[in-house]
Amino acid sequence: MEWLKQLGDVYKTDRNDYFINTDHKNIKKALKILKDNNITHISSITGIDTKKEIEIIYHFSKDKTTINIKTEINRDTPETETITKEFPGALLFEKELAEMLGVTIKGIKHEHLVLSDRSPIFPLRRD
Amino acid sequence: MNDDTCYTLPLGPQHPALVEPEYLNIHLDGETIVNVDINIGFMHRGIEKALQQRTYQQDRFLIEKICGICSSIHTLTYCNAVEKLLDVDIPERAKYIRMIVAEFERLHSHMLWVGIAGYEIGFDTVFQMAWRDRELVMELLEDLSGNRVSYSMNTIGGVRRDISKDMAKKIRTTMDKIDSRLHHYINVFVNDSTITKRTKGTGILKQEDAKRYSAIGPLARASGISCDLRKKAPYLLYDTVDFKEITHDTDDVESRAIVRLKELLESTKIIRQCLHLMQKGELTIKVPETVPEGETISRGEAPRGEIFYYVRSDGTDRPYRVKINTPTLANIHPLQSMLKGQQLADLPIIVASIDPCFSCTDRVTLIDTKTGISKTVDETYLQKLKR
Repeated sequence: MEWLKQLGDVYKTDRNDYFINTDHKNIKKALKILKDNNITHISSITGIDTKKEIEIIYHFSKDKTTINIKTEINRDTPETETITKEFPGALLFEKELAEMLGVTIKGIKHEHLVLSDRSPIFPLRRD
Repeated sequence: MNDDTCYTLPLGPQHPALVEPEYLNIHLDGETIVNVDINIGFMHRGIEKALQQRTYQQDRFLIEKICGICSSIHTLTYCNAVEKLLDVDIPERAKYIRMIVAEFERLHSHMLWVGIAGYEIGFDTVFQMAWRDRELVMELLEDLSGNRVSYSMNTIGGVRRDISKDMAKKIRTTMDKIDSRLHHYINVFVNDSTITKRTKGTGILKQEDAKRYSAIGPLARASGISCDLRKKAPYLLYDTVDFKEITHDTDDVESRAIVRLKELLESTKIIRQCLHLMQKGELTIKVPETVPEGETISRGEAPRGEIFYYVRSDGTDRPYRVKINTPTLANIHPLQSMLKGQQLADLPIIVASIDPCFSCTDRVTLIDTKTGISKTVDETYLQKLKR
């Protein structure tokens, strides 16, 4: 798994779980490297409000290995590009992220998908 | 769709019997499905938010309520995650009991699906018989845990109830009965023309599409993708038992039925081996209430596919973040490509073939885009169509 170092700082939380801190502007490059290394499956996308930034973790997996690309975006104007061109299966995960944490995802249609109209705005924010 | 030749058929979202209602907006050209818009979220309960406000032990009970059918695999995956953060290894006997209950869950979930598949193609005898046979497993779960659903077997640090010698004997006898019934159902789904005429070549999901949409579970395995986490990323003691991963490559509804049924024969094999392998011993170990700072990932193979948990701890007794991903969310998306070009009458069985706890066919409105006239039809209308 030496090639993972191209993506950013790598650390492991378990024998087969790799986490990589990646600068937000390098996300597209990281996705391309994943594709080139035959990673095709996205398991989920996690959004976390750390009170300073919004952290996004893209969870990819292949067999026993999980590769988790972690990036941080501005909390006041959270914005990122969609990854559905590279991983079409990410669409519903991205929509969930947008609704739960108020992240603007450029390139997908924004609509109320998961929450009801009466739900609080961005429920997973820690305000 | 703005095409004047198309009808728009909204399907769903609610039905009293469903756990996960969805809303499908179906665009039709005559009886042929042109496109499908998918909407979800009608049962959103804010569980991820609620988990942050409760302790790790309290969360276990809440997680059990995420899904009635998959309640054991959810708590199993969550407990595995918290145990990883705590850096504890649970007793071997507890691991085997967790595996046995997880396989019971797969048995009753897939048997339920077999019944629903029979019902959706208008073969109610299969529905009645599969659900009758499913009761064998439900009775075992009731004997073992006191409950038919929400068994509360898993706890952080082990399991809450033991399997006695008498119980083990009863489980072995029941597994023999179930095996013979499964062989019967496999024969029915492969050879009975009433069924094969509705399932062969229906709802095709090609392997490249399944990969593109990140499909998981029996749906992906029925398109020839090997993705069973029990084999690919063994958790608990799945690497100590002998079983095969079932895949099939005809990509249609029949393929999904075959995968699910054959998979159950492997489940009974796993249960027998677990009973044989488990030694006398403790059921739980004591664990602290606070969890050290850290983050972890845990995955498990639920009846419908991969269950994914990400847990982050900030060193307190409450998790900072728990992210849950369930198989239905991943498998709804491929529905679009499965339904395109299919007949409306095949819609219920195709939707049911991803096993989403959803076959709701009431509250349907048909809109004629030429005249603007809409009419509401009920379940009976679609029942007539599918027969």
